[in-house]
Amino acid sequence: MSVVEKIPTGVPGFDVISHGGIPKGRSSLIVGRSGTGKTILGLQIASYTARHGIKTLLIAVEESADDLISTGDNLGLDLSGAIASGMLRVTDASRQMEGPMVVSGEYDISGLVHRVQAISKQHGSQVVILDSATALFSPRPPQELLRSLFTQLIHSFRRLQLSSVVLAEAAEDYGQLTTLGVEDFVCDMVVILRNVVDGERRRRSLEISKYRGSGHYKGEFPSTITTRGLTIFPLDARDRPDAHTSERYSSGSPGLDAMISGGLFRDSIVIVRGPTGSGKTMLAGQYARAGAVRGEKVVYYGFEEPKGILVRNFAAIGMPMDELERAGNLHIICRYPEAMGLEDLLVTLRMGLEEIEPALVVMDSISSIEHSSSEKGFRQFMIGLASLLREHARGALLTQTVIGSEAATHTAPYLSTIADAILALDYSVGPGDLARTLRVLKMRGSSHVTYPYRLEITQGGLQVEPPTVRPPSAAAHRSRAGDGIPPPSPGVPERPLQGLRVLLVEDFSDAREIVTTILERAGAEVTPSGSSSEALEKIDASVPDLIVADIGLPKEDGIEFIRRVRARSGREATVPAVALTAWALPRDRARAKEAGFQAHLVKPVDPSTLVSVVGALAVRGSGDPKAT
Amino acid sequence: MDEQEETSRPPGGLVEVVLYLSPGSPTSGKARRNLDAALQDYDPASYRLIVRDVSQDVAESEADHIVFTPTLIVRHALAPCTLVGDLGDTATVIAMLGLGGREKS
Repeated sequence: MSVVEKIPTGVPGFDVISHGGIPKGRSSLIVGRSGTGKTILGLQIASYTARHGIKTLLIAVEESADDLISTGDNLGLDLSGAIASGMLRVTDASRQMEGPMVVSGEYDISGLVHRVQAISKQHGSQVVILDSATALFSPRPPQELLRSLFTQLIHSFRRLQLSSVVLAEAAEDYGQLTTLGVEDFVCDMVVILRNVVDGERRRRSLEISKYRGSGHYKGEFPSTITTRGLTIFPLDARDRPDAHTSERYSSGSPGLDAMISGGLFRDSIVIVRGPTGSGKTMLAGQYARAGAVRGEKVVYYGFEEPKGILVRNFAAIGMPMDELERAGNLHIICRYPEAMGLEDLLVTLRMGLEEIEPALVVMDSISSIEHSSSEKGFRQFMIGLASLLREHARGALLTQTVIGSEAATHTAPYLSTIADAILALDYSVGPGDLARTLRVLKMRGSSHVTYPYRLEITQGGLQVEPPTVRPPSAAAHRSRAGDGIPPPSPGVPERPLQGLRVLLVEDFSDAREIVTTILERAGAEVTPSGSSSEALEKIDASVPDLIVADIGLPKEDGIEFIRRVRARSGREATVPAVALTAWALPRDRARAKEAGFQAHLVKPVDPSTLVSVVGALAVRGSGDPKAT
Repeated sequence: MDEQEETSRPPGGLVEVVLYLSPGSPTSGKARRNLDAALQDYDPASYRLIVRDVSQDVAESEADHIVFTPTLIVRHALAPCTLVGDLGDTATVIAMLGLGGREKS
């Protein structure tokens, strides 16, 4: 628990890792090699404190006061405004350049101490920022005198009840903290800025190596400098204060919502993994579109293709985005992350999120970032990104491209930690079309289906359907033909539907094949059809003994189909019919019965259940049992 | 301004000698004595000596960017010279004053 009173700095991320900012009434040291951003950080703190009611004194040593003010103004810190309002006072202690300076004999630092004392008394300063100690003690006095002078200075700041921030030069990124070698012993807090080469890119970081009397986050945190100054990315993904909610929202796919017991949790981060062509972008688009249609603000970051192509592809599969963009609900931003450093990308994302204030964020895909960075860099990026998303959005979906069936077997530990839900898309190449699947690998805080559902690309997006047959759970259910269909239960006749003529209506080709196989194996003669219109034609040609129909059919659904059948005047008006569907709610069952189905089976159905229900209905419906 | 001593303005180039001191500091006292010793051989009409107290003359200290005391600033026709320290190195002080040829007669 922190016992030190803190002053917030307003530097993005800094107050998180320092548990609240710099210590009040004490001294903080910011060290780093040339070009690490010490001055920028110092000016950001000065600007923030001055703009938040804390009168601040800035001592310019390394460069003139005018140059320092100009630097701050160029960063958008409006130091001139703060000076004009009286909240910031700048005093110039830089070396006058127009003549020689000689140091000879003994001296003390009373000149600066008296200046600070007089100015702070007259101005009412509470914070003092010195840029920098290194320049102040140049030429460098003997070590003993240097230590004495620096200690005098820091103690005088403390005596004057000033919270001080002292900048100092480091000779190297890792090693002795400062070139002078004395400052860190005296100061209460030590902040190290680094700018090192990591692979082909520069990597900036910030570390708090010391904080007397206060806890703080340990280790290096990625940072970056942009035109807005220094930003630090806390590795710790902070929870939003209102993040603990059980509220769910639709993923955009009713089938996926059914798999995860009713939708995604608010404030959760979802990672969708899968090989190229498995439907990740489509699922991402569906997610974004559903949010925008609900009236939520959604931002979609496309990292793999230009916006024009992305939007065109979405429109081609019945997911037009134009209108949603025009309405302001959807923002599609496409960029190539390879073109910028990861830290800069995070800052760009942060700026975008702050400006747009979205409820949902989509990133498609993080793999393009992964491929253009080192492993450590990507890890830091992802953790920083998670922090950013949790801070700024109420839900996020990230896609990741993996090779082969890696989607279901491998997840980097830090990605697994970040993600509240992981979905794995996959496909296998069959004799005909691709057989796509979606599996929920993980869903924090919720029950979910653990076996894969089928995916089909249709107009309007991905259709997620349960497998027609529940997969065998163990070796006890061994397939006779290696097709995944379990054998009949003991005591059940081998061909209970012998001679029964069944019309099957199912748009999914693999589901059609499986149901056909189950019914034929039980002795039925099956006429398969893929749509309502095709099934009606089949009925015109020959009225079946029984109908098995899916509800979720394209164009005309199973409900409308059976209504048409019941509306006819022939024998088909009374043909028994079984609905075999993913629509499992009581109201779906009631709707099916009301439309004219006698039975309602929910996918995935147990084969023996399907056979027995069909058999019982055939007996009851026609009074002429075909089953034996 | 705590203490100021001015010589009468001589005709020709006047050298301005400004010494910033810290009250009660032994080093400052030493510097004052060393400066007096260095100036004793020169015509007082050739320079103007100003002694400032950093605890009182804050505006002047700030204008002259004073950090350490004692600090001596010598302004003459050339660029100003700054000497930080107790002025114990008499040869350096005399060289910086640039008063050669203006000795007392």
